[in-house]
Amino acid sequence: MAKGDYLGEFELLVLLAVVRLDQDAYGMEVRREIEARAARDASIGAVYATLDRLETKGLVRSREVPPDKDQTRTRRLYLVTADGSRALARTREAIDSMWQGVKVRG
Amino acid sequence: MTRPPTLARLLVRLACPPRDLLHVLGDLDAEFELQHHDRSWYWRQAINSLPSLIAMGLRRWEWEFSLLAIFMASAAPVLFIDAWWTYILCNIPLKAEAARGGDFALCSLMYMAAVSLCAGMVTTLRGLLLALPLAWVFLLLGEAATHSMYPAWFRAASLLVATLSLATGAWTRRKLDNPSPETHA
Repeated sequence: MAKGDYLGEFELLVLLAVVRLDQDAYGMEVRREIEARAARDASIGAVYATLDRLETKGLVRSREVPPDKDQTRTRRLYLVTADGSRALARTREAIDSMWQGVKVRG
Repeated sequence: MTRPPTLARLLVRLACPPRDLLHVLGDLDAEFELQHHDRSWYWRQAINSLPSLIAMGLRRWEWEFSLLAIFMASAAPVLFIDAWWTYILCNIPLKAEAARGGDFALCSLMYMAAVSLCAGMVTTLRGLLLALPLAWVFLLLGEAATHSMYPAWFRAASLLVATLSLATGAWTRRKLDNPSPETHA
């Protein structure tokens, strides 16, 4: 894996949130998912900037969703691409591999 | 009903690229309601979002920010230094000018280093390649405009400082954009 293919910590959190939310991965929901599961106070700007970076890398794609009966505004839905899924799997393999045999005190 | 803080909203509007503006503002407003109209929450979100939104704009509008970087790396320092020297020379005796010229030149170089570092961080490779020769041209023009009163070493030193600072800024940005595997999984 080339150096630029590694996911940063926040990129990993955002990508996982998009996977978890599936068809409900809008900016606000991604932010709330990270806050709820990772106990991390992320700003909405950081979430959108990271999603934009992931989209540039081809790891997610987005599309505009027109308003429906529940929503009054157009929203941007994010979906993980095949490259994104592969990047997640590679990152997990790398982390699992690094953790093997490691014992942390405290 | 409490409305979101107007100034915070304006800051977000200024920083956010047009493509995402409605989504970001819409999300902020929607969550503002969920947060029971907590204005301090809105302010925190807006302030914390500004650097990321500006960075996103920098990444998207590559060519425009290259132009900005070129200006920052070349024209702005020269204009600033020119105005500064003019002010100083109008306010000190001639003997003091001769004694302290080196000090002023050093301060000018430090200022140029800071600005060039910032320029290097926002520019692209294309902007960097254009910024260096332009910085040189502007320096020569600035020197001519001030009747060559800079110290002799100033011209070479200024180009060296601008080059190193631009390169350092570009390297820093590259490191930030591509985190190393040592620190990130």
